[in-house]
Amino acid sequence: MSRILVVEDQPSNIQMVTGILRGKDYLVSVATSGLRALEVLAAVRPDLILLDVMMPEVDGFETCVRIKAVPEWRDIPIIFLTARTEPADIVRGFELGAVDYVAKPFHAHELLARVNTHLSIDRLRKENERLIRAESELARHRSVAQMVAGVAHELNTPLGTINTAASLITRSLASPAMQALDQSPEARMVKEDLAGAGHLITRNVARAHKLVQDFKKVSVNQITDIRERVRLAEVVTETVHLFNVSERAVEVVVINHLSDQQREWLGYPGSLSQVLLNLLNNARQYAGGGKVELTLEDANGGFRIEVRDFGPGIPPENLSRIFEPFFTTGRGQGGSGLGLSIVHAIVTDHLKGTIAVESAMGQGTTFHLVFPREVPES
Amino acid sequence: MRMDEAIPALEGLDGQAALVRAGGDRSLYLRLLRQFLRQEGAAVQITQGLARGEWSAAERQAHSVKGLAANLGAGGVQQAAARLERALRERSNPEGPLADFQATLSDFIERLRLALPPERPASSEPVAVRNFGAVAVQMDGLLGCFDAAAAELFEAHQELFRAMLSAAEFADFKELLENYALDEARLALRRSAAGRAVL
Repeated sequence: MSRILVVEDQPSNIQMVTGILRGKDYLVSVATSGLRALEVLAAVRPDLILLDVMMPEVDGFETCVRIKAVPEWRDIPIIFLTARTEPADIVRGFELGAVDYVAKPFHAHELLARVNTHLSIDRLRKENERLIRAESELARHRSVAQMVAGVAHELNTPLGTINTAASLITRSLASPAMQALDQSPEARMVKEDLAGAGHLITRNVARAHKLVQDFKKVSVNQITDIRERVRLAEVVTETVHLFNVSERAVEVVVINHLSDQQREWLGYPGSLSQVLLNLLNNARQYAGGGKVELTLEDANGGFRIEVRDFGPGIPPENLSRIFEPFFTTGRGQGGSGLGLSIVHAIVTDHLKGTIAVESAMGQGTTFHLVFPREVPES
Repeated sequence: MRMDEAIPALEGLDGQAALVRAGGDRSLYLRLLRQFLRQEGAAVQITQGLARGEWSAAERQAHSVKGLAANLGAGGVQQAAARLERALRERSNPEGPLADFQATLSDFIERLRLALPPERPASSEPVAVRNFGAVAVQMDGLLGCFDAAAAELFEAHQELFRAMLSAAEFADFKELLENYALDEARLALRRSAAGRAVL
């Protein structure tokens, strides 16, 4: 059953509202002032808030502002209870993020209808978010698959040409015109060398083809993700290559400060690639491409990777929110707002590390990843 | 409909409209009417507040009486309170509206008191004192969630609380619940329970 928080300073009004709501089996929590509402919210999570506008000290508008300022409470729908029905007041309520208002003195049926409607809307909103999340997961997997297809396509064509050229050499060497050369022992040796080179090429093209197929598999593995001991710089370089196959406009420079003793990492290379691809994609989309610097260094026995772009930067008011699910400024450009929240989840949950961001307007943005040298098994 | 749930017929009270407003819940409406009796001293409090120069507090109190009267369908009181609220907001001489408010309110409350059906007598069933621990734990949980059902639980077990708490504790706890000061009610309950090793 849904819980509703009633914020109202008049006991008789509280009794009326709770009486009406309890009659429909809603759970009701009560706060007799705006400040108390914040205390109650720290203790219980309501599904909806009925907020009186006219209260002493901290009024309903101010209370609304304070509730909306707390990320965990921001999504709780707020309905204002107000005796003031001047348009300016009503508009102000909506501007502060309320979903509706009920004019006092209210009718039980109207109050219940509005509460009901907004609870339903909120349920749909949550369901919608879940679907967007699922859809974006799919999109993520699709984009990996697309990149793999791009790589395979890029490689298969030259490999095919090399293969054709090699068989041309082999066939030519066996042609009647070439038999005349067999008379001279030196010419015969050259012919045999060339035939050997032809086989070498054919064999290695086959091997390269196999590698491309394996690579396809590796990309799929990224989703299944295996923990192994690898050289960190190699994972990073491979990922950058993979990224550059589809995104040639971004120049990615890898700066490796790791010594030979520091280069090995026991972790999840698939996940790390995922994180780096997301950050690189982000730089492409929001920093407008250009140059991106990837710096690897030791960080007190762990690793630090910095991903730095030189784009316009992120405004301070957005900076604290970019790891939140669904926060995006690129909704119109196909951004679901999940990229960085997924990155955050992978880094903290899976790689047992931390991710932080700093940004200066007009100068660019840097993401700092720090994670342990040996990631414990998930 | 039980006799004790009859809506009082009273001049200046549109009981039918107000009952509709309360979703047709007679006992809720009667509880609200009974609670309105507490507004008896409002005019005096406003007068005293003004004497101390507390205009905003006085305006708020007039506003709240207006709202309560509107909920109950007490049109005359509502209008008198609205006129007073306006005068206080505009900081104009409130004497006339205040005198009018005082007269309208005390007349209404006097007649309301006479017209209200008597409260149901307290249950005479023996109180199962042993249950108090369980009820107190339940009450503590509800108060911890600032849950309005605490008032319902109290009403259902009022005699048990009366038997278990001292007269002063009982009155104190009841008042805190009536004012929805649920945080303080929880502290008071815990204080009372601590002495009796209940919670």
